[in-house]
Amino acid sequence: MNIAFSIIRSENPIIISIDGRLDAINADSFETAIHDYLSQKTDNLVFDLEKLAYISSAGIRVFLLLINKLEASKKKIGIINPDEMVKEIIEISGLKDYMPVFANMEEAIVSFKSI
Amino acid sequence: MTRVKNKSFAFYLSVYILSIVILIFTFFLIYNYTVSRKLLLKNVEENARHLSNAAVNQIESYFKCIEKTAQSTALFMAKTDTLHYSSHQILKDILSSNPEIYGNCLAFKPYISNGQTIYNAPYCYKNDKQLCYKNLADKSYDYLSWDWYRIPAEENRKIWSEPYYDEGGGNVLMTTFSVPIYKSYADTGSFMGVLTADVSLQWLNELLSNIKIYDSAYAFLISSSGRILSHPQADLIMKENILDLAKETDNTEFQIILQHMMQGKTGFEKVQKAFSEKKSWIYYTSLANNTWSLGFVIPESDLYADLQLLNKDLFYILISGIILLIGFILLIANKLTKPVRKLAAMMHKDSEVFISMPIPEIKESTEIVMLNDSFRYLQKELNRYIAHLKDVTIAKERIESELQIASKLQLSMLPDANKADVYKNRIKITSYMQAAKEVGGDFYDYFFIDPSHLFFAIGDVSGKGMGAALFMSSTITLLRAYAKIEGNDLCRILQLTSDYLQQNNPEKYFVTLFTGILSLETKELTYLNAGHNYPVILTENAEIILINHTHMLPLGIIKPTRISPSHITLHANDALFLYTDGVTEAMNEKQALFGTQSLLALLKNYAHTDKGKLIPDVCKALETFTATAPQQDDMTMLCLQLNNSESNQYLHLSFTDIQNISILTDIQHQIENFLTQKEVPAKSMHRLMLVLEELITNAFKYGFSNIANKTIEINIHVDSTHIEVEYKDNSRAFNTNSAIAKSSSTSPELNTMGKRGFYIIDKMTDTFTYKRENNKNISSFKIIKNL
Repeated sequence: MNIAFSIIRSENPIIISIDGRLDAINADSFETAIHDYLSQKTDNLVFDLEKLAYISSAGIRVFLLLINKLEASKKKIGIINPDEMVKEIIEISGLKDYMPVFANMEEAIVSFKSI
Repeated sequence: MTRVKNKSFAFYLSVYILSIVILIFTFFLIYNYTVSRKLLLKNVEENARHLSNAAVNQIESYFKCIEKTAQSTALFMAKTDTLHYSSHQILKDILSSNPEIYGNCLAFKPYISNGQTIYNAPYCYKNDKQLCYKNLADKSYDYLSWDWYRIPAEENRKIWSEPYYDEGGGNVLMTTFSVPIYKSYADTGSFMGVLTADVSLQWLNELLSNIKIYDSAYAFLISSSGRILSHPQADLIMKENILDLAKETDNTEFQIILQHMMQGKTGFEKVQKAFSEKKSWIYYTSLANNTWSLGFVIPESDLYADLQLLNKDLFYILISGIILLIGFILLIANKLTKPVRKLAAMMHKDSEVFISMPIPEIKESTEIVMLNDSFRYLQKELNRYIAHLKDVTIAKERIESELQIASKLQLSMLPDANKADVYKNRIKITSYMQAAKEVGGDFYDYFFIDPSHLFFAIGDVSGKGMGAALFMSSTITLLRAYAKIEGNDLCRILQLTSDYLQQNNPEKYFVTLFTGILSLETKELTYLNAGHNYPVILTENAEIILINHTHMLPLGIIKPTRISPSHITLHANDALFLYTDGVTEAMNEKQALFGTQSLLALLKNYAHTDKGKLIPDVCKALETFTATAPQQDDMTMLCLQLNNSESNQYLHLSFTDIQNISILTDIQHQIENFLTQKEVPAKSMHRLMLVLEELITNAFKYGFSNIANKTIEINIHVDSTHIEVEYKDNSRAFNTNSAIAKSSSTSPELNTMGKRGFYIIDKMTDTFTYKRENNKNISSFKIIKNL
């Protein structure tokens, strides 16, 4: 199954919607694509995970690397609309502390805009 | 390879080609028959018409000849004066010179001579080839009343009479041509008499039967009244009216033809049957000079005899052609397939034989040469491939053997199950690990950092295979090393491990980790969860508690901040179950995951009090679930079960920042309490205290001076026979062994302070060992429980 992402908002915070499964098979290509995009601009990121059906540890790694990258420029990552399973994995992995879950897009924008 | 029983190439070639050939031939044969029949029929009709015409002409010429003869004789006779006397000779001459004439008569018109009416009718005829003479001027014959005389005499015309039996004349069946004789030519008034020429029907019949137009064709002659004049069946002649005959047989087709004949028409028609039952064609025409009609019956079989002959020949040609063709096909197919069979036979050899076997030179058709070339190419490619495969196999085997070594090495990093046995009277530990590949990224570890504190960890490195395995081995080594150095400080252990991993992680692996330190004394569990699946506590009452707290991100990528461990106090007989996501994400053939809920449900319903069987039971459930589906991830489980009955056999005392020796009272008090509980006899208790007191006093006297933070740690374990004691302090090192050695060789009176102390120790203990580790003096000794 493929993974695709689309940029919903390109100014700070950048909002990226992820569609598909983030597993060992396609995490690498997704990582490359996201990093390619972020090589042009660095801003706070909000991921819309509404269409993310599954995330494995390879997917967790992508987020860990993103957090690591953005930490250098003091930028933050947030997420919206994770489904129950994705949310649980994000909680267990401890990513929750680094990627706050916002109730909706507006809240995420308000929260990140000034950073 | 099993050979399918198929028909040969020759068989298929024969069947296909022959089917087509037979089809074409059959079509050709039918076409040929139809067309040639049509052509032939036309031809046959023409031919029959011609033949019949010729026959008719022949017959007519006979009749004409007879008529001419009679007519010219009549003219000659008219001029003959002495006719009455010479007629006899003339008739004789005519008869002998005309074989077709049976008989002839000169019938004079009666005349009056001497008052008497004179009848004169000299008649000559053939009887058995003898010429006979008679005069018909006989009252009994009365020639004047016969048609042959009467009609020419009265009507002044020549006629052919209807056939009749010449009773009293020729005495045969005959027909008679009669011509009137006139004295003056064409003067009917000068009528002298009638000249006749008889034709015997027998002769006529012979004449017609000699006309052969086809093998079984025959001619018949009928008069205008339907009387049969000539027919091969002699009994029909004159006796039958042909119409009656046709009516008898109820043959309307034939009747119509006969009516046409009687009307003097000409035609060529087909009838289903004529006189006989055969299908026939009838050609009929009237004879020009009278009202007779001549018919030729030509059986159809005769007409088509040639056609049938032709078809018969064609059929034989076809059959011999097909036979020839089969032979030819078999020959060709055999020749064509011979090299193929040869090649096929080669393929049935073992592959080793095949690749080294010479492929024969074949100079058959292009395709076969191509096939042969393909075989040669295949052989070459196979050789090349096998050589390549050998190299690859060698390389693969090398890698595999190295992987085997790596796998063994990795397993050897995990705690030995025997080690768990050593702890079994304090805590039951069971574990399971199944790597998805030869080496995996999962691991677990447990060991005692001191006699009452168990350090344990379970972890999962992201990714699989060799990289993950190397990262795992780093992690497990670091944890173990830092745990040994840092002891109880879980945060510090993880901090250090994390730092190291993060700094040496070019591939950006990360490891999720659950670590804990379990105090067997207090049953307090101190733990840290770095992004790992939540472990489960199974209580004695079969309740489950999920330790759902994550303290930090997985280790390796991001430096952790603000770590503070959590604490939970377990109860006697509680068990802690830890696992990696390979368990909850085990996949079945329908790609469904086993799931955390299934695992929790399984644990919730776990009835065994012996949690030692928990992991095997979970394994069984996983096997049932996954069935034959291959697993993508490593699976690891660790189960720690506290052992109530044995746990309080331990006493752990630890004192830090000790000021002076007064601590001894405290120590003494606690130990006495513990040993009393354990029903240790006073004598043994006393001995133990003596030894400890000696060790502590020695430390204060010789070792603790200038040590800022004086620490003492005492672990006591009581089993059925012995009391085991481990004493640690951070005083300076001293040579105990030499002291003991001296004490045993000298008398007790030589009591320097230290020496006397070690003498006591030596006397009081069953075994005694001393070691120096981590700047600590560690003394261990055993005392027999029931002295």
